[in-house]
Amino acid sequence: MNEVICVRIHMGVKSLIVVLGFLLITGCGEVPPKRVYQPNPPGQADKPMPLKIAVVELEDRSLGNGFTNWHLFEVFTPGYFYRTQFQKYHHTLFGTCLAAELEQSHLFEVVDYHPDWERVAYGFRSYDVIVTGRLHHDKFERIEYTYGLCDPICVVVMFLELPLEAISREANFEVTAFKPLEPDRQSLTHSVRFQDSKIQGLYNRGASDLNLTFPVARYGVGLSFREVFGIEFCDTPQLAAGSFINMHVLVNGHNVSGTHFDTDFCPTELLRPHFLALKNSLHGALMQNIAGKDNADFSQEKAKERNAP
Amino acid sequence: MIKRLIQVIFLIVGTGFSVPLLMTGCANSSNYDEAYLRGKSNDALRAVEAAQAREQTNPTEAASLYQDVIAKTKLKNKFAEYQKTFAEDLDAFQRSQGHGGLRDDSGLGIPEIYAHQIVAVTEAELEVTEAMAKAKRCEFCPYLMASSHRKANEILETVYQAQGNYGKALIRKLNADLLEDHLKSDGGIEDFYLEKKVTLGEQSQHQVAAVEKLFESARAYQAQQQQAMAMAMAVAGGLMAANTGI
Repeated sequence: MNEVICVRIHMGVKSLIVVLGFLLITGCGEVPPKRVYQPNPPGQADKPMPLKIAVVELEDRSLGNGFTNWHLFEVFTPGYFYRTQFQKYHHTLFGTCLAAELEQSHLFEVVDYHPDWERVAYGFRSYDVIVTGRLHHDKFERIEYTYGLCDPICVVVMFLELPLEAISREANFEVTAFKPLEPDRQSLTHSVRFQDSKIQGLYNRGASDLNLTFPVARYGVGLSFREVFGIEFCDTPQLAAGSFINMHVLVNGHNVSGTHFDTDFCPTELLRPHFLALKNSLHGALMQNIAGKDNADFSQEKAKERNAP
Repeated sequence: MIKRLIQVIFLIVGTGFSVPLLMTGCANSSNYDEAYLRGKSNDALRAVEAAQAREQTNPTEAASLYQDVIAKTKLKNKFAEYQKTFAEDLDAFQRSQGHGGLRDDSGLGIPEIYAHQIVAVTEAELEVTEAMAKAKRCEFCPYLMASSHRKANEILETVYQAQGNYGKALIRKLNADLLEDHLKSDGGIEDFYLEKKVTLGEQSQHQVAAVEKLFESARAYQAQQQQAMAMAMAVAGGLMAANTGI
């Protein structure tokens, strides 16, 4: 009788190992939707200006200090009060988000986005305005507080309502607009700078815009026992056992496959006010430019120019 | 019984954790990747911009910043030679499965990075004629070349005027005007876009992306090795626990 029970338990344990192994490989399996910039709602403009705008991706002028990450050994070493994971260098394609904003505004007849200067260099004459700029600074940072305790013990801290992690994001870029035939004379220069941070613990874990644009936080890559055995088990996709696998990919310090990032890194709530101001400034500057001309004449003139060889 | 089960789970997970833990500590540190290469050339540009901002208020500091930029910027070879070095380094890096690395000046084989360095040294150069010579080294930067020559001619005009060499000053003025007209002409505008196409066009961006991809695949390869080892250890630990414990 005892032997039968023993065999059953043995089988049960083996099945558990298989299931656990399967979980380790697959994770929770769900693919989360991509989080992209949501433009401001369009204004009350009667009809779009007869202008064709090219948005060329911002030139990367950021400091390339590389990706710095925490080391896993810190998780298990007592005496670490916090560990930091930050990404000094990231080339967020703010141009895509800006193009989405201008397109959604319905203020201009055509808005084309170009990831580089290749096509614009050939077809610059077909545009009325070129919008581009420089990215000066783009940084993500995540701090996880361990309170001097090694990670398995750190689980206790979780229930004490103490902050567990802080996430911050800051970026600084400059947008310029010029007429294609006057590349040295800028019609508009607009600086965008945003900064935000959030501290969170077990009881204040609301999903914020900042959270969702921070890839590491979203995927729980800095995985600890807390996340594996705590209540968050399989709470968000990839946050459970499957993260064992993802963990290596990212904890080594780099986004080794682009598929791990499901965001365009443009934090909607932070960018919206800036882009609204930018859009209005651009619209105002262009309105001034064509104020002297009759709108219909202007359209005809533009059409002629575009059709010219 | 439950206690045993918990022990087994902890053993499996613990082994799975501890091995990658040890391995990540020994993992290769990243060397000159795309972020570094691009960032380094951006550093030089930023230093020049900082010096330009201080020119009026603190000319001594500005001059020292300019000298720093010139000292730090290595532009000994022609672009074609840097391109060759870059291609060789990429090839060697690929063959080493990520264990090798790129050299510090590999990035100069990428047009965007090379052009940034040229702009930085041209702007930082205190000798006008030397600045003109440096700008000339960027063979795919006609717009930069023309605008830096115009600027140099304007400076020389002022210098000759102050020295009382009115004839020379007039020649410099004519040169500057000629270049100004060229920059505003169809040809000058075409040059602007041609330069943008080479430095920030598809090919240049692909080269930066190629470095990024190489580093990514090298890291993925190393990560895969670590994962495989961790999985094997976790399974072995689990089986061991299952066989001996229960």
